Order: sequence, then C-alpha cells, then structure tokens
Amino acid sequence: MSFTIYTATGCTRCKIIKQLMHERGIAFEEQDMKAEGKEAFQKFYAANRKAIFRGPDGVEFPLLHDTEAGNIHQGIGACVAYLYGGGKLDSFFSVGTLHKEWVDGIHVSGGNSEDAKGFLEVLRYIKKTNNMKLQLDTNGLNSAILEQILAEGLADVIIMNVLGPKELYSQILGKEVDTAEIEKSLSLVSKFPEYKFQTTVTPVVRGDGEIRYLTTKEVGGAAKLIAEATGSMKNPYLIKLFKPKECRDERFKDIEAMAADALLPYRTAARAHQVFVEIEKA
Amino acid sequence: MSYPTVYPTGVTVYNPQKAWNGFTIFQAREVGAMLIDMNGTEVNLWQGLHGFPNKMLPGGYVFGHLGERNNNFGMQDQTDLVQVDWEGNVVWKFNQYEFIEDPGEEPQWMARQHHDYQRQGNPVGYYVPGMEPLVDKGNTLILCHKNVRNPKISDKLLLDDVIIEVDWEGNIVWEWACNEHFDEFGFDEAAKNILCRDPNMRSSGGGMGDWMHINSMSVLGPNRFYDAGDERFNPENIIIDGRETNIICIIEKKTGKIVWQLGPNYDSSEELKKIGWIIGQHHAHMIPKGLPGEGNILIFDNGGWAGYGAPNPASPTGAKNARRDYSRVLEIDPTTLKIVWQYTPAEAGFLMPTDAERFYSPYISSAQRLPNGNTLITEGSDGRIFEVTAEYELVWEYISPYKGEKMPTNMVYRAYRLPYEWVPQLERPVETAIEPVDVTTFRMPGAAPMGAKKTTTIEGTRPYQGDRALCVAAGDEAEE
Amino acid sequence: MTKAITELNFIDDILYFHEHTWAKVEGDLVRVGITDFAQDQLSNIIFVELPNVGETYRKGDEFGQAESAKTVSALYMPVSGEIVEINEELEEAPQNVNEDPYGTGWMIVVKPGNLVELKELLAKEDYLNQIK
Repeated sequence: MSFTIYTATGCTRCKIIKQLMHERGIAFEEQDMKAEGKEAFQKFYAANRKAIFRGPDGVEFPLLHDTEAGNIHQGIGACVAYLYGGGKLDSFFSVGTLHKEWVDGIHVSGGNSEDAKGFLEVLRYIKKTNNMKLQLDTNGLNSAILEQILAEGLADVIIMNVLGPKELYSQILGKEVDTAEIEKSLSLVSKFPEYKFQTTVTPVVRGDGEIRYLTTKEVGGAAKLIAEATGSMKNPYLIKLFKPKECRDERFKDIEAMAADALLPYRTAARAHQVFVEIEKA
Repeated sequence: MSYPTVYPTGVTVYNPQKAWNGFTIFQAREVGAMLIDMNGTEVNLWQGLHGFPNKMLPGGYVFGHLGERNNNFGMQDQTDLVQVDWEGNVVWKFNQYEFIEDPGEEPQWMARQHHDYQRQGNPVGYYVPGMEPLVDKGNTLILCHKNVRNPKISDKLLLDDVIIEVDWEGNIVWEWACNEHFDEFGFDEAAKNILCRDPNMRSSGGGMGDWMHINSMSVLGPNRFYDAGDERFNPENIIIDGRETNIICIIEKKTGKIVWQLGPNYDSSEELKKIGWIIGQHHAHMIPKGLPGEGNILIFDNGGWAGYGAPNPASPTGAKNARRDYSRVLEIDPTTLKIVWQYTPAEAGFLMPTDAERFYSPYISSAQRLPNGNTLITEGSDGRIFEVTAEYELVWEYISPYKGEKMPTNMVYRAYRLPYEWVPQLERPVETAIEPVDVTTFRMPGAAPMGAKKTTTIEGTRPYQGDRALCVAAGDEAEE
Repeated sequence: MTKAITELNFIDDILYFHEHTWAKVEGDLVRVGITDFAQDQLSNIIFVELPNVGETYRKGDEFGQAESAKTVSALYMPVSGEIVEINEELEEAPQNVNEDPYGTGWMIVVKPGNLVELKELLAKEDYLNQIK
C-alpha cells in the first residue's frame, strides 16, 4: 500500500491519522494544503473533486489517498476504519460535519453485523485512545452492536432515525427487516445518556407504484412505535423535512419539497404518542 | 386615577343618550367572568372562569380559561382557552400546545395562553358591524408562551411569545415565534446590551426573561390601505405589541416577516418625535372597517416604565429606560404616523403635568372603538372602565368593586362592550341615567356642608392669579 | 484573512458587475474574470469550473464556479453572449486567479449579444462604493 495524506495546518484529526500510521508502521507522504503541499492538493482536488465531500465549512480534512488501490477516505472516522479494516468497514462511516472534539458520520446500522469487532475497535481508538466525543446514528439495524456500544460507553450522543411505522419499515428501508430488531434498538437508544429520535417525512414508493410522502397518520405510527418500545411518551423526538436536493436516491430527486409549515399536522399526530415532539424549522 | 380613601364603586356616571348601550364583560378579580348592563346590574357571572381576557361571542358565549399554571413555574400561562355557553357548558377547548410536568402538579397539556386570542370572522375580538366571530366552527389565533434559548438575544432562558392558529378540531395549522425575528426589530447596541444582561428576568420557573412581553394580538381585517394596494396591510396580517420593548408591529401572515413597525425608538424621525415615546403600551390594534376611525391604530399608551436602551438617571442599567407617569390613548394613522385622535390627561380635563397621573395605569388596560365613535377605555390598574365621546365627554363610568384577596387590587385587565343582541337569553335592560354627583356638595353622614359660618374680610387683599406660578410649570406654561 | 479594500487592486480600463466579475472590451469581444475583491474573499482557489466554448448565457447567469478549500462561489455573466474562448491554463494553474485576477487569471471571452448591457455595468468608483 502506498498512502498520501492531505492535511491542513493545525488539523488535529489529521495528526491522529498520521499517528495511527506511524504506530502501524505504514509509510505515507503528507501534503499540507496550507503549506508546501498547496500545489499538490490543488492537483489532487482538480482530479478528484467529485469524490471529495464539502461540508458547510468547506473541504473536510484529512483526506487519505491510497494511491495503489486508488481510493480516497475522508474524515477521521473513515480514515481510521480504512487503516483498521481495509475497506470492509467503509459503510459504517461517512464524512461528518461536527467540529472540535466531536465526531459524527458514524452509522451503527450502516455496515455488516459480521464486522462488529472491527467497527468497535475503530470507535475505541477514536474515543478512548484519542479522547474524541462520538455522535452515532442508527436506523435500528445491528441492535447487537448497539448493545455493545452501550455496555462499553462508546457513544456520547446517539440519534436514531425512526424511518416510519412498523408496517412500513421494510418498505422504506428497501429490504426485509425484523421489527423486533428495530424495537430492541429503540429500547437501547433510550438508555444512552444523551439520545434523540427523529423521523424524516420521507417519500415512499407505495403499493400502487406512486411516490407519496409519509402521511401524518404514519408518522403518528412511528411515534407510537417509539412509545411502545421505550415504554415512554416523553422521549426527545424531532420530525424533519425531506430535502429532495440533498437526496441521493434518483427516484426521489424530483419530488416537490414540502413547506416547513406542512410539518405542523405531523407534530399534532405524533404528539398523541410522544408529547415532547418538535418539528424542524425551515 | 388616584382615588381618595372613600369613593363609590359600580356605575358612577351614565348618559343613555350619548353612550353606546350594551353589555360589558370583564374579569372580576378572583371571582370570574362578569357581564354587567349599563347600570352595573350583574346579569351573569361565570364563576371561577378565568379571563386573560374574557370576550363574548354572539349567542351568549364567553371565552375564558379553566385555570392558570402554578406561578412558581409559569408566568401568566393559562392552562387552556375555552368557549363556554350561557349555562356554563364548555363547547370548545384548546390546551394541546405543550405537555407540562411541574413538580407537585399533575402532568398535563397546556395552551400556555396569555393576553389575547382571536376567533375567525372578527379581526379584533370586539363588536364590528358585519364581522361576527364564528361560534360553531372556524380557526382561532392564540397567543402562547414557549421557553426558548436564543444566544442572539441573551444567554439566559427566555420566555418567548408564540402565536399559533388552531382549527376547530384543535390542530395547529400555523405558528410564529417572536425570538426568531429578533434581527428584524432594529434594536440598537445599547438596547442589545441590556437585553443580553437582563431580558426582563422574572422569578417563575427558576428565572426566565420575559423579553418582549406581547400583550395584544389581533388581525388587521379589510382596510383602506390594502384596498389602495399597500401589501403591508394585507387583511390577514397580524398586529402585535410588546410591552417591554415599546414595539408595535405588523407580521406578514404569509412569510412571518415584520412589515410595519413603531418603536423601539421614538426619536429617529420628525413624525415619531411628534408621537413621543410610547411606553409599555397595550391593546394596539387596527380599528376594523365599519367603525369610526377604521384603519387607524388604536393604542393604550400606558406610560409607566419599559424599554431597553442607554442608561439614564431613572434607569442606571438601561432596563426600562423610558418612563412617564401618565397614560394616553392614541389613534394613529399607520401610513402618515399622524395622531388622529387622542385622550390624555389634558383631554380628561386634568392640569398638565401636575395632575396628569390622574389618568394613569402603568400596566394592563385597553381601548375599544364603538360604532357611534365613542371609545371604551379600561384604565386597568384601578379597575376603572369608562366611555368617552369623540369630544372627550365622559358618558359612562364603572369602578370595579372586586378587590382580590390574594392580590389586593381591583384591577381589570381588559373590558369589552357588546351589543344586547349578542345575548339573546336576556331582555333588553332598562337604561336609567346616572347624573354625575356634584362632589362639592356630596357629604358622608356626619360631615359638615360647605359654607363658612363666619366670613371675615381684610382690607387690601388682591385677586388670585391663575396657574402660571406653581412650584413647577403647569397648564399653558408647560405646553409652551 | 481577507484584506482591507484599500489593500486591493482595482483597475480603470475594465467594467465591473455587481456580482464581482469584470468585463473588458476587446474589439467586438468581451473578456471576463473576477475582481481582486472576489479572489481575496475566496482565498486560495483550487479549482475553476468553466463552461464549454459555444455555449450561450444571459447576463446574470451562472457560467461556472470557483472553489477554494473553504468555499464554493458561483461565477456570474456580466453580459449576455456566446462563450468563444475559455482560459484552459486555469485547469493546471487556478492560482493565477489569486495572483493576477485581471491578467493571467481571466476566465472566459464572450461574444456579447447585447451591447447596451455594457453601459449598465459599473465604473471602478461605483463598484468600490458597493463593496465598502
């Protein structure tokens, strides 16, 4: 393997990745985009800009380029995961947008449950070895991994995306799921020191082939699912707007965006089961 | 109004020829919603029905609240808004805005309503010919509270004002939160400074900043400005006023943006200087179409103490930095900002400024325009409800006899006059004139009449002068 | 760190568009780039996306974007017209925009569709007033 790491002067996360490579005896070349690596970064960026994520504050660092395999990993989570797992842990991570000591873009339900061991090692390295704080998310899959995370105290914040009511869960997820698994996750999530449930009013491909947004009744059903699984009507719960422009699913890109005001009846419906529910502001 | 130790209560003045005759609804302190006729006969008391405020609807319905949140935790939060019929049955109720769990209290849904609400069909909540509020359907706008954090305003917990629109079934269909529009209000640096340090902190719930304190919320309704193409006055837009900030403004219903505003400062233009500082005002609303003065903004400008700004001798920190010890009722054209009509201590016949405090309520109060051009004024702090003609003649006056036990005051937050027809359950009452008593001859039993037993003359005494040499400038001299 | 306006360079023989592009009349063609103010706001430009020759845009349309590590800025047409040439050197050397925004950092050459639009552009002083 042959690595180039693109960094920014003063970037702590970049130092953590360099340290990990030193520990593991991995040779690499560093290009600091604010110093001598300016030109090299420019070339790298021009050649790979479609694959490079830009958050609200611009390009996130570090960027780890495996020049032999020809892949790029961006952000602390994805880089550690690649160095630990060589690709198979990739889907647990995406580029986060939180800063300072916080790391997000960690998806408990994103990867394969067989890779749990490696995934947990990555979390331990970031949290325990490097004292970062972790914000994890899940949609309810991989409840066994979540249980382990709770037991080891590997998450500072956990957000669960409750995709919809029980009867639509598999349909929204696009694969068959055992709702007992989802219920187990719901229950586990509510035991973390800081947690939040959220539901995005997402478009769903209906039985008749038409695409329609989740209805107020269905979101009410999601709130009910939370209440039943956690035994509480008083969980922190947020209802979010679907943003077609940010959607990667081609089927939903052209759907008309809902107005922020349209969430009001969803809140009313969810309130019957989750009294502290709030709605996302535009 | 500064009262002597002994004074009558109930109706004290009544001219049936000049008054706009009807019933009057108000909250009798710690008693309930009280409906009286022009002679003060208490024709219906909805006992224990709170009123912040009470308002009537055609058919003998009354709006009110079943209760108020424990003051240890909430600031003026009414648990709900209910519509009650003549016999006391609750026919409509809304309370599902926030789920509240206060220590030692039953967990419950609360509206957290305060100060105002409006039922569809009528923009302002009082009688307007041809604009009857709906009684068995329609949406209701409700002014509520919500606790928020907004570092733009202050690092302290804020008690924010929220307007919600609920349908007949109780679904919230529109929502507007004041704190989200902080940048639009145009506070200067001095105001932001003191707002940040002290956003009017109140002790309830361990301390919260009642930073804006909206006390009035009504709809503009059809008006001549919009008819002439001025979009700021779209009939569905909402006018509010904030007691603590001295701001009166119009919210565009469609966007939530502030599209018209008076305050927080009243010295930035010649027009504003002419109006003078509006302080701690209440009940700022547009006079609805169909009433004399339609389109103008009617305001009870309390005076007292309010505002955020630069420190001055009366306000070492800049909190409540504007002060005045008398009240004014102002009617202002919202496009020219000219005062069209006013009722101040001068119009009331008091010597300015030395007797100005005799028309003064530093908090609560209101003004309602009546169909014959009269104005019903609630001078709230002393429980005085009175009606004046456009020429300032006093044609009806009532002093509330209901002094609270928990709070020793006969205050009236806001009273409304309504037509007899709105109460079909009652016969039209007999209207008996009450001539103003001549106070120079009125005596308590045992008190001697006026008139010297012996008059002694001294040679060389000169005639009395007028008011031009009091210890302070007064009357004509004060106006110069 | 961005510079104060007095530290920036604004030249006389070009016209300015309020969206921070400039237009220089060269015979019957117009050369377009971004102002010193705009490049300074962007800081180190790492990529410039330009349109294809032959494409037509209206005044105010987005014709491309300039990207730095921290931001992405749209580029706006100061005049309507057809793209007749693009600065291909910027692909290899986007830093030219930072170093010489009125010279080697030029972006496109346009065949203007409506010469009246040139009169609507700002002179140096008016542009300076806008960004003050």
